[in-house]
Amino acid sequence: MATIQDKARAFIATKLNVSEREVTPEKHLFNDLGADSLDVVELLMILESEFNVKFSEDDTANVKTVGDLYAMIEKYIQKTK
Amino acid sequence: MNRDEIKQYLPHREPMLLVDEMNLDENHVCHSKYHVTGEEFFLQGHFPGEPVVPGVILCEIMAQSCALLMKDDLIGKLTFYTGIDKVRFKNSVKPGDTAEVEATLTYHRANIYICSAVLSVGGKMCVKGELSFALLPDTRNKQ
Repeated sequence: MATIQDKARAFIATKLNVSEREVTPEKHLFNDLGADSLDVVELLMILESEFNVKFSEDDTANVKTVGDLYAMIEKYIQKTK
Repeated sequence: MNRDEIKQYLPHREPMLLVDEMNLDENHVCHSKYHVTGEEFFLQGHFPGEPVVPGVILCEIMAQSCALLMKDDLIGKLTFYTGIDKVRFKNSVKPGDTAEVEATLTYHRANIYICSAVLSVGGKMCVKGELSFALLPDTRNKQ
């Protein structure tokens, strides 16, 4: 069964047009994966829709790496349980 | 809101201010109008003897209407396109036409806004699309 990280990795790879293999937790969204601010906003929109959560501006402002993104998604999914 | 009132929010000015009137309804949908007089600069060569409003200008008309959705956030800011998606041109717009735009805000985070818009003339759809913008500080008078 696909984990939350597996699903998120697929969305990140598709949105940023990189291979899933490149999407590892330590990768910086801007510096390593080539994202710009619009890419990240669109990615957050997709993730909110797919995981049925709504991220706060404060939390998203702190997201720099793929690992930060995974942690934030898991935190919000935990909140809804 | 008339053209003078619109100028209090939009940073655009003639000849690129492309909204004559607008109102926001209770569902936060922007309804705006632009009357194509036939004297506009963009009709001069597009095309001689057959003036048609260029597609990029129709996108700009929609974009300015979308920007008015966040009119209170526009004060002290300039609007910059970040994306134009799924735009389809269905019918042309000509001198004498009134372009009517219906714009809605789809998503907003930080200074990025994603909107959808439809431009019609006389109830007939001419253009539809999804437009996104960034609002950046207007530093023109701060030197």
